Amino acid sequence: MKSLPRPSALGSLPGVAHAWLYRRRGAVLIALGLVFALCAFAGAGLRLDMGSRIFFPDAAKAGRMAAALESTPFSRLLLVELSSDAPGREAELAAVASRLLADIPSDLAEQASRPTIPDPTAMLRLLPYLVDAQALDELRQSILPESIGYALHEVRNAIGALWGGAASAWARADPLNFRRIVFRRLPSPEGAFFPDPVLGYPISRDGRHLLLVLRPTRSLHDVEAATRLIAVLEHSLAAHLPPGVESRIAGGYRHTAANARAINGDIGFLATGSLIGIALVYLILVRSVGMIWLLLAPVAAATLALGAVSLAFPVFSGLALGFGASVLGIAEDYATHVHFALRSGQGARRALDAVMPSLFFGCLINNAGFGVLLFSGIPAVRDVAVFAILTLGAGFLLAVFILPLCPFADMPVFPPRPLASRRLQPVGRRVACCVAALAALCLFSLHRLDVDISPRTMGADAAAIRQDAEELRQRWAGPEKTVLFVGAANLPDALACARRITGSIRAASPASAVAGISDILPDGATAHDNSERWALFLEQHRAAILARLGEQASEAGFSPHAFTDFAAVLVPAREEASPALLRDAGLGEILSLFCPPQQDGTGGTLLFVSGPLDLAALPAELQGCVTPVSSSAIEEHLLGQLHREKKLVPIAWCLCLAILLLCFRNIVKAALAAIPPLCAGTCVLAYLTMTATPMTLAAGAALTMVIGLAADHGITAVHEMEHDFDAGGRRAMMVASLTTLAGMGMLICASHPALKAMGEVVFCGLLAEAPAAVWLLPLLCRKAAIGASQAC
Amino acid sequence: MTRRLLFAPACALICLWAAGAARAGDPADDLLRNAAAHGMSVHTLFARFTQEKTLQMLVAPLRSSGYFCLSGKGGGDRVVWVYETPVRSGFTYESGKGSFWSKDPTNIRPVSAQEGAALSAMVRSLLTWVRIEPQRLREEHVVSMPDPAVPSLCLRPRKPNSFFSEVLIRFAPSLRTVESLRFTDADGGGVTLSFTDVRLNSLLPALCDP
Repeated sequence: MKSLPRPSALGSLPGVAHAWLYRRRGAVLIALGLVFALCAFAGAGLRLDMGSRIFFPDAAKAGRMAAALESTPFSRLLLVELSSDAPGREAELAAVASRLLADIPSDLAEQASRPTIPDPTAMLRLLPYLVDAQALDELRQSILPESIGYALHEVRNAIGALWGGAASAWARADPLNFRRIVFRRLPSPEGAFFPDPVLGYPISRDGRHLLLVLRPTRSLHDVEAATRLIAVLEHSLAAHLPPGVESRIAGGYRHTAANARAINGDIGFLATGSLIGIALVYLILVRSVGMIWLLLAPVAAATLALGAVSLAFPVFSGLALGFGASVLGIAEDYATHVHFALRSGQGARRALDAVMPSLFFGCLINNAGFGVLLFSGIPAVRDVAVFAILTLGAGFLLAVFILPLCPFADMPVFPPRPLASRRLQPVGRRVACCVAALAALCLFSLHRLDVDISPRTMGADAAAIRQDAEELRQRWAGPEKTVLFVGAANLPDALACARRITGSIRAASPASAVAGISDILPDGATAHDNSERWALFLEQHRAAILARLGEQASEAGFSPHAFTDFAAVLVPAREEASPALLRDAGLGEILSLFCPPQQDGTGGTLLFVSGPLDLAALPAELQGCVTPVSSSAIEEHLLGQLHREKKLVPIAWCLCLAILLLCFRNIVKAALAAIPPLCAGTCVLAYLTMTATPMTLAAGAALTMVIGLAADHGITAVHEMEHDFDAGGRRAMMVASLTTLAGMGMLICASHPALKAMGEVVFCGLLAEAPAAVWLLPLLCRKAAIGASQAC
Repeated sequence: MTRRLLFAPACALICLWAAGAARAGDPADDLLRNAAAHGMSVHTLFARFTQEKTLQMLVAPLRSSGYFCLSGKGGGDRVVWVYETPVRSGFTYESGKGSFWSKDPTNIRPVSAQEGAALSAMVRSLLTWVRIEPQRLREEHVVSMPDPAVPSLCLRPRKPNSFFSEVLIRFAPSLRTVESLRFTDADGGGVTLSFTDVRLNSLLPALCDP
């Protein structure tokens, strides 16, 4: 215990420091201004990661899940469906779609599935890489005279039909139907929408729906771009949609835009309401020009924290920063306590000596709570903890050392309350009963509480957007398929793993259909062997094939130059097999769909499996590279991680309790100080249980802030009961609680679910915490004799 | 005042001339309107056809014959297209789903998603030409009347990806049915379909259920 600061020594430290700083306050304020400017500059340059990957645990499996989720077509494309009330309006729908496309700036999005008919010669360049032993047998059969005769007969029939227009190009390039070796390996995946060859857009079978598939140029997490894109689309739809035609937009970009809009809309009116509320609280309860410092203190603390973060971390989670901002209420609390202590009229040194211990231990408790979160397995939680610790630390230091230097911070003076009304002694039995009752209610509520950590329920208009997406999926994606993401250090490794997985699935369950890009792109060695086989085949038969074909074609009535393109197909492979080959062959769209680029430079490819699938049956070495893409599996994994991290909660509680005991060195007083946070937590949990509202991530972040503020107030209230100095703690507590209520509690009126959840928690928590600290704690005490011993 | 009095009759004359010009209209429009008046009432249609296809790949034109059937309207369209010579083959298209067959109607070849999209587009075009839906034809094609003496329309698709670069529709004198269709390919090839034994809105023969 000797190594810990003695309370009396701790109490005199700020007074001494203030005296030293006050003598140099000009230099200190200038230096602080420079540091503040530097931090603001550094903070402005901080690169924010707006992605969701940071919310996934550190484990490699979770990383793959995040990558898989971001690789699905739904995350990368934006779908616009136009539906008419009657069939036969396809051309009209197509005209509307074309007008929409014309309205969309090219820097925002482009049409994904362009209506291109693949060039036969280009696509047949893939043939050499696919000539395995079985294909070679087929080729040998195809060049027999009777086979050539039959093939020419089929060509004649095909091009003779009314619908034989496209067949002519294929027949010219490949009259012997070698292309079947290529075609049977082409995947037919979920999400590959085939456009109507005339209208240029996919049309539903009943002719009433048209799908415009857009590929946005910016990331899903570029909020500004997503909002602009959706706004352009909606504006264009409003302008061009004829009567009887409806539209539906689906895709992750709509989620981003809906969230941004809801938050912007909420901020618009909530910020006004909050500012009016905070101004009223300050005007009624603070009544000092010094209130300007109370407003600036949390902003300055956050700026300093942001600057420190930007120096330590090249990229920081934007969402974690948003959640971390909720601790600003606590940072303001420190400044408020110091401000009211300064206004006691007994000098800054005495005021700081009096208020310092409770603020220090309050800050210590909050930082201990957040410090435990540094051991979380979720990067976003660690980011929140880092930002919160820095903000609270900066807020505390600014309040204790800088605020007293500022002009008007100590005026006007408040008359102190009579000492007799403040000196109280907690009654052990009353405190124990209260703590037991609150703990029981807390545990009961906790037992019945629903936890929903799904990011899907935290979004604006989430239900409507999901319903639209589901309708589109049912109409356009066909039977449900299991999507597997195969990830590796690079694309060739991912494709190699995908090939082995495909083989295993097909061997284990022949009824399953697996669509993947690896079929059309064999591995390097196989492709090389196949190319060699093709080259040998050409060497042996090329001249004979062309001669025989020319002769038989002439007999069948074909013109002499009918199959000149075929000679260009009968050439050896010119390069190594690579994904670029597919793009050259006109399969760029399929390549983009199956092999989405990975943000971290690794490789990944998708497999679409219909039919039975047992991933557990895969060899162990393959299970490491495959991840099923399923939002429910991801949520289950996150929930599992959350359960594993539950052990951090009792650790945090024990740590906080230990600090309280260290502060008061009396278990009854420590328990008394714990009542406000316990009260706040219980009230929030009871409210959530009674209203059947699940505890979300946003609500959890807000609860941390409320409990932190309540813990501060508990310590301050108990500290005030046993000291002679009136530091205006009750008034400070009321001001801090009311301003936080006006600031964050107003979020209860927000339309965005996450903000609303935060608002509900703050509102309920503060409604219970402030009265508990100000009025309930004295009720659990009796009047003490003047001059009783002091703790911290 | 005098100027205004002179100006008013001049305006009236100009308006009268404009109204008359508008009433006279484009001959293609008149023909389209008249043909549409008959075409809109098509519920069932059966016709035999002979087809002559000119292709650069072939030395001589390819001749074939067969029949087609059309029934239903309002989303339940059913189209059966059958070649009887030189090789029996065809397709059936019903409520957005199509299937090809060759030699024997039971020898059905499954249609891929890409082929399905192409077949739907083709049937849609076919129905538009047969039914003469003026608004749709105008939306999808540039319409003209090449010879005022012959009831025929020339349609040039507005979309670059259309199956043909030009379609010439020649009507029967009654304007109730189409006598022949001639499609011209972008590369100069072409198809001429001449219809006979046209039965409009009558019970479809058993042939239509191949």
